[in-house]
Amino acid sequence: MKTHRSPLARFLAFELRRVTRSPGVVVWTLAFPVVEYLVNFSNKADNPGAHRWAGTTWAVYFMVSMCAWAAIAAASNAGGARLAAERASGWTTHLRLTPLPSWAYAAGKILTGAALALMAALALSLVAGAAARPQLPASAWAAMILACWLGSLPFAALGILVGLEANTSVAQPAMVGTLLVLDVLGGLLWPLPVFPNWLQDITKVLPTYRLADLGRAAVGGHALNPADIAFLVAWTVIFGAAAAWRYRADQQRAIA
Amino acid sequence: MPATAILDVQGLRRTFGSTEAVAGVDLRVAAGETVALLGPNGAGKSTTLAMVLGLLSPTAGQVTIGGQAARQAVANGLVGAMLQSGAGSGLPPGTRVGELVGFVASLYPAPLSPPAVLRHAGLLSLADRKVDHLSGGELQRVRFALAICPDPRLLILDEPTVGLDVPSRRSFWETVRTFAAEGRAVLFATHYLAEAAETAGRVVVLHKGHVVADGTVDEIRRTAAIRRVRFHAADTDAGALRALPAVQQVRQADGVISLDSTDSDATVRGLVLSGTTFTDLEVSGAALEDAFLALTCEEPA
Repeated sequence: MKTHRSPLARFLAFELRRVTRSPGVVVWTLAFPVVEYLVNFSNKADNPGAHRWAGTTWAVYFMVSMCAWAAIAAASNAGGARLAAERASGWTTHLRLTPLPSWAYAAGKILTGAALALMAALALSLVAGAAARPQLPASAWAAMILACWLGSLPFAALGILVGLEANTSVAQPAMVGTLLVLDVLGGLLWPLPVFPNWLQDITKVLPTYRLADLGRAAVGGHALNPADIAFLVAWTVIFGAAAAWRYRADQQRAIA
Repeated sequence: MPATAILDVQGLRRTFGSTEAVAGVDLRVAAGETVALLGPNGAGKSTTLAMVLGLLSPTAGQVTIGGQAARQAVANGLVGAMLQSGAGSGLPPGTRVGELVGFVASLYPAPLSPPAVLRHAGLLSLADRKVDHLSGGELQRVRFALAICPDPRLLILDEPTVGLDVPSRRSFWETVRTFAAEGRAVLFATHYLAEAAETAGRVVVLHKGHVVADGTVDEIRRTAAIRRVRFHAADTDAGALRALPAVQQVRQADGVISLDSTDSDATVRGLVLSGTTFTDLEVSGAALEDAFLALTCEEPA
């Protein structure tokens, strides 16, 4: 009697084996946040703003931003160019000829993105910890990593949406461009008070800001802001539902 | 037609905008039968197969596989398929052949064992190879392997040998024949007449979304050679017309005579010599002939 595993568990195991075997993707998405952190963690060391914004040092504040950045970029690999290539190869169509339900397909892809995000958040924390040696209790580290990990879910769903919509030639620039806009407007490169008021209003809606805000609350030892979680859940639902809708449309489009 | 049809397609239609890609197809495939769906590019073969597999919803009509609706049959592993993958490999990058077969087989309720799949597809020696490093013929064998994973009673292949060299084609069809010999039905699309003739006991010719012929290749060739000679004539003797050279059948309606002929030149010559007074003479081929004209220019090397 062989042990019963759900189709989701099988698909997830299969996908994880594939992505961990091609580490190039993950390493590449990590390159920018790691280098950015190493270059910039010390040059605003005396920045008094960081204390006001997050109740912590710049090195810690910026670590949260870059950890969020890394998690977001990694999670988007669930879809993006990889998914566009799978669609173009005909593999996505073949999966529709198996009993794998479409919800298990979507969930498997999102969880793969989440796993990559966790690896990215851990890797960034290790680099930051070794380079800047920020003074931070272990529980705050763990909370920040957890926040970045769970907060990356809407970006996994967004990656799938882009991968379903874009063809192979535009998927990569579309994904990078979308994330860049969300990252910059979400205040990951420059802190929020740098922005004019009207832009801050936009920033506060974006999932990138909400993810980083969650991470900053974690390192600052503050209570979690329920609005952050509400926004992140809402974005996950919006991107996830759009992806599910496009997945069904793609089934017809792939043939016609 | 045998009662135990594994595939039953009735009145299948599909329109894209104002184009009718499939215009009312009826098709039954018996258990264990190998049927070729033959037609030129654009005849509606791929659209038909996509609807048979439940990938595309029909505008009208019904598909049942082993008595079940298409999606249900797919989920239960009654049917396996190898579709056209265009420029792509049809396989996920970064996987090994053996683990890909193992994963796909694990999704079905009663699959063939992965070693059996690899043996059938001639892939035992390639199990540890990454799919990114396979030749065209090897890729196609892997795609065949995925199609047989469910241990299907019906195997569907959409132009499976496109882009392959002659030895790869031969060995592929040998593999399919061996697999089908175990009592499974095979329905494959092709635009190569020779491929249909060599592999399938029965050929269904699709042209502009319609089934224009259904039978053995020899039967179809005979039908395709028939021309229709039509003309207007007032006083004619059906018996005399029937006696004209090469005439198979005579039809008369409202002063229009229609003769089915296996040699229209001889029939027309005979008609003139008989002294019959006629107007508006017209010689035409059947729809099947159009389909065959499009096909025979594209024989495989």
